Amino acid sequence: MSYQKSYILELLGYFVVTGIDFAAIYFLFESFPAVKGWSLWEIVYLYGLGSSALAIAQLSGEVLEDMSLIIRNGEFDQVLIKPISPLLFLMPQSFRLDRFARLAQGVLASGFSFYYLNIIFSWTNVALFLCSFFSLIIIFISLFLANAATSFWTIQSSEVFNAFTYGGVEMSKFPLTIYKRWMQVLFLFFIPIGFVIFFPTSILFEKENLLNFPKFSAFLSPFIAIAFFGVIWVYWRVGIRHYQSTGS
Amino acid sequence: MPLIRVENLKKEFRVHKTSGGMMNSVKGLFFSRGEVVNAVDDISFGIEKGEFVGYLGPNGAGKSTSIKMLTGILVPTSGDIVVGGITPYRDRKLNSKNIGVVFGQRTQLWWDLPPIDSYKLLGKIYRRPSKEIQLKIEFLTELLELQEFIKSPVRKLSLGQKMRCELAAALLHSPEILYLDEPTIGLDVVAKDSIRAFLTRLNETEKTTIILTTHDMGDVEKLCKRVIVIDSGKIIHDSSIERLRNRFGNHRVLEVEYDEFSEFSLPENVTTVKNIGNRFFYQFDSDKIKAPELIKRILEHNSISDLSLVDVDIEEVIRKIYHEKRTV
Repeated sequence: MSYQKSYILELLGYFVVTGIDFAAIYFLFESFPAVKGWSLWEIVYLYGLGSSALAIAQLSGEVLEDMSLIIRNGEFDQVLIKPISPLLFLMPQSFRLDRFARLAQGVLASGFSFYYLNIIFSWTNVALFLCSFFSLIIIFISLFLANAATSFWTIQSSEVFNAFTYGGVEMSKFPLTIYKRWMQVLFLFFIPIGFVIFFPTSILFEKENLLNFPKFSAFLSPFIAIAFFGVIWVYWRVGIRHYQSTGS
Repeated sequence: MPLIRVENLKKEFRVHKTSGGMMNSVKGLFFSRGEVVNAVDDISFGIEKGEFVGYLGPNGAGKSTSIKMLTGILVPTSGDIVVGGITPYRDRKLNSKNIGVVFGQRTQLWWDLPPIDSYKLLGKIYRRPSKEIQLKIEFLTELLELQEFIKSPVRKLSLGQKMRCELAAALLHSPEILYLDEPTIGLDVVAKDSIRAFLTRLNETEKTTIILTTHDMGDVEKLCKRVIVIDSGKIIHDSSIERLRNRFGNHRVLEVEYDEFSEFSLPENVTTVKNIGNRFFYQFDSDKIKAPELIKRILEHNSISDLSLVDVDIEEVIRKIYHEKRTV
């Protein structure tokens, strides 16, 4: 019973915090009708997309964030003596009920924004949504994996890629067009969170400013995400070979 | 062709030295002086199917590093390992189906689950039919006497119970080779005995090849037929347990308590190790002088009230090997 109570309290706390987030967006639009041509509900959509993708990524791969601990307490040795890929063994341990709060809230936010923006149900629109949604999940999981792979060298937990994961979530709440050039380049090509959100969403909302990119960039998103994952995967494989285990 | 073949195996680690203190730690971030340590330094050996090998050495000698390379956890710096025709670090998954591993200080059971659930999960991981796993669980439960606690969460088990459960977990998929890294550490006498009895049976009836690292010489004496001793990454001894015992001659110690001691000349090859009052400890080589002969000599000169004869134990022999190496 006490677990149930603490679970409910945690959920409540989570909704209060994110409620404040929403309030901030709302008050922003009290003073400005639009941000670089993006309206309130369009921003809410970005918020919902980022949250729900992060929630799914966390549900499937958050345990990778604890990689340095898993290495230090010797658990990784146990993983390596099983006839199974380490990721397949570890990732299911990411499942945590409280992540459903973030997921629910993300889904609600995008749902409402679809409703208020009168986005019609068409195959193109569904495809655009899925393009950014799944690409984003892949990128977030890749970032968790990059963090985990870095632990093979540093042993100490590394926060480098966390900056991109959670920084990326914050960044993704607003359209890429509001950021400085170097930020755009960073999030388009190096950590392509911006790429997979900005193009599909801009096409979905019929925005003119595509930063001089062609329209079909939207549908390149999944490929960009998979390529990003591929690079990180190689990094991870190199890391495992470099793995030094712990004493005794 | 031995089951396990190791040739010129090496593992280097780069160790970063910090001299302690806040400033040095910060400095270490930018200029880290790596130092290469040879944890395993050019070792070779072969192990046949069905052998029971003790892999011994002082702390930090390279035992665990070797075991981790044999199991495929670590990639060697150079050299070859072939285990049952497989190179472990290259075909890690294939190799893992063939081996069972118990790290005495780590667990492969899920902390909050009862062992029986962990076993079923492991059965799935090893992709064995659930029927086969079921039978194997019953078999091991019987042999290791797990009935009482197989359904309690692992965190509630005693150390001895846990170790028996670990052994069962490592053997579920009927591996050909079992690696044990200090399996009796921290266990009481009864628990040790039951585990030793089980391992002997496993080795004799199932012909499972067992490689054991331990600091407990009781384990070595009761279990191992062959002993490999490693120190500073190098093999310094590799022989059968009998030859190990004989390496320093057939040393025995005679303990004598005199009624009243009067000086006499000891035969050759006999030395007084120590004496406490009227109790004397004589060490001798039984190849050179037989015990009855020595006792007779003593009785010619003195009357005694008590006497006992002890073999030099294996611990003493191992200590000598370590020591000999150090002083060379």
